[in-house]
Amino acid sequence: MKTFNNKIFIGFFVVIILGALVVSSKSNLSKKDVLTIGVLQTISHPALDAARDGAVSRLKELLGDKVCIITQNAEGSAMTAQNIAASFHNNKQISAVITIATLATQAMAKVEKEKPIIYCAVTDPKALGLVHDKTNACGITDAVDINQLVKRIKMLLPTAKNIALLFNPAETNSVSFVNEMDAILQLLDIKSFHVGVNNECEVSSAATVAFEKADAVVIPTDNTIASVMSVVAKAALKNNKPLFICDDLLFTNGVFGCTGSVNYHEAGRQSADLIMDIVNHEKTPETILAVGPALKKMIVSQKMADALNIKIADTLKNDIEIRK
Amino acid sequence: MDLPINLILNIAEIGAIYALVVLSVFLSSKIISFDDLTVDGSFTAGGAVVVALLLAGVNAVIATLAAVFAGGVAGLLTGILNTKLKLNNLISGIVITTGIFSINLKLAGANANLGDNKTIFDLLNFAQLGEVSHLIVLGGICLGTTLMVKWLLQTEFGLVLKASGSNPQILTGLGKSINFYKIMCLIISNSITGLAGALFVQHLGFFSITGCVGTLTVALAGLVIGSSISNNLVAKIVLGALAYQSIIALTLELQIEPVWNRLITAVLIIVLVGINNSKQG
Repeated sequence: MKTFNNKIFIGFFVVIILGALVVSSKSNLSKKDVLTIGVLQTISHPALDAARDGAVSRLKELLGDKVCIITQNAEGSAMTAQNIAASFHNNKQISAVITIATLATQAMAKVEKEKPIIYCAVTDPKALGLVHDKTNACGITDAVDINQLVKRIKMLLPTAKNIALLFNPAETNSVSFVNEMDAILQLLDIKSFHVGVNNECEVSSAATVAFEKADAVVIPTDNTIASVMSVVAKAALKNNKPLFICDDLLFTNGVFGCTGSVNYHEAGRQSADLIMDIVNHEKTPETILAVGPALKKMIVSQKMADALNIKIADTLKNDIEIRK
Repeated sequence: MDLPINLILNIAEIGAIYALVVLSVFLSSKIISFDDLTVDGSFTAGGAVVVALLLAGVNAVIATLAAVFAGGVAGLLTGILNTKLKLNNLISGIVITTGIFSINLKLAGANANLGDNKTIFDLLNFAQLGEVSHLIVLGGICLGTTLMVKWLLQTEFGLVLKASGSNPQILTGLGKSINFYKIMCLIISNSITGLAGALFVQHLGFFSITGCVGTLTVALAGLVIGSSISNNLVAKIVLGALAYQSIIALTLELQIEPVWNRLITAVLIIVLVGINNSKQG
């Protein structure tokens, strides 16, 4: 009994051998003056795309023609992330890798122990086991200073007793933010409750629930909510309640306050600068470790303050940036 | 010519893990003609259970067995929904996968790192073989499971199982319950998927709740490719899974703008399977 269909078996072999030839010929191309950097992105998303664009444009700014950037996107799949990580690890041309967001960083760090890995848009690199003195990974975190955020909320809304946290519990960044915020709010005797959404479609009804029951709503650096921020802002306007967000670029009509320190495009540029420092041997990953975003003042909307009848105390005016 | 050893090793390792899922999908789609959408759920559940137990300090072998059990439970629930509540095949699978998502999220969180916890690869220590140690374990488990299933399908139980899919009237004639065999098959196939999920997470070193979406697609593609290459069960699932991983690796090496990767993969699969079907046609 013929167990192998001979023709397809041979055809398959031919494809694989052709593939191997393509792979090895690319690896052997000697590009003497050109620095090759790999960029591994977790998923397509405006914030992460901004980080990637920031990194790529900065590298091109610094090196012009003398850089070859290989970008790949795992599109949310752990299997694809692993395959891309293996591909970058195998590619001898690549000198360093930029990873954007947690999944990409985990996959790359597991496979690559020697080449420098610069991560970007990762909230908690310590939890990934990347912060130690023998690490080859360093980068920019997008961790928000939650202490400062809560302080400002308390100053702006001294009578607020109940805060809703709207986020996607399947996003690890949001979960760590929410847990930290719960702990801090508890110390100040402010009640908080969680409103969870699993995908963009659920955000509209979830936002309505959140605004109805709470004195204010806070949204972490959550990818799911970020993609439909206008919906949440509309709900804020409709219910006439303050909305606090963490991503500067999402500041839209209806948002009351924004922590103002997370800018993904900037983070991408910063990671490109870090890579250059490391490739030029001026710094090493274990000395850089995790760099937080540049601390900036909270941004508050004057328009929303007027609409919500919130008076911004003069003492605060030095600590926040007021946007008309 | 510099052989891409790392790439080949990776293809073999991931291929061995997904071969188990291909085997599972083979059991459900080909043996009992049940398009089982539980696969995404039980694959993630295998990972979630293993992570939750490993981080709690449980032995890796026990954790992996628990993951197998969890997969089996998922299969059982799908089977009950389909046979007792008379839900359609696809809906049963979708409902269970949807429900399991919450359980997995609660057990393991959105993302979890295994850190220094000893995985099954550390316990079955082939460290002296260095880089191929994971492959030896994965290959062994994959081949072992496939051979067990092959043996099972040749027993009396297995023959009745095959009949329940291809010729259900025979069972009624023999006084056997079609529903029982359907549920048994779903339990077995989802246990195998749970095992694959557990191995995947331990191999990768981390768990991501949304990272396993699309497992069914990968498995089905592997099954289709494998079926077009060979009729032998072991060859079908192993070569099918390896072929799909090779196609993914090849797509990545072509380094065309990343947005086109999925399209290129689809085209390569069509080419590979299409040639065979047109020759046979």
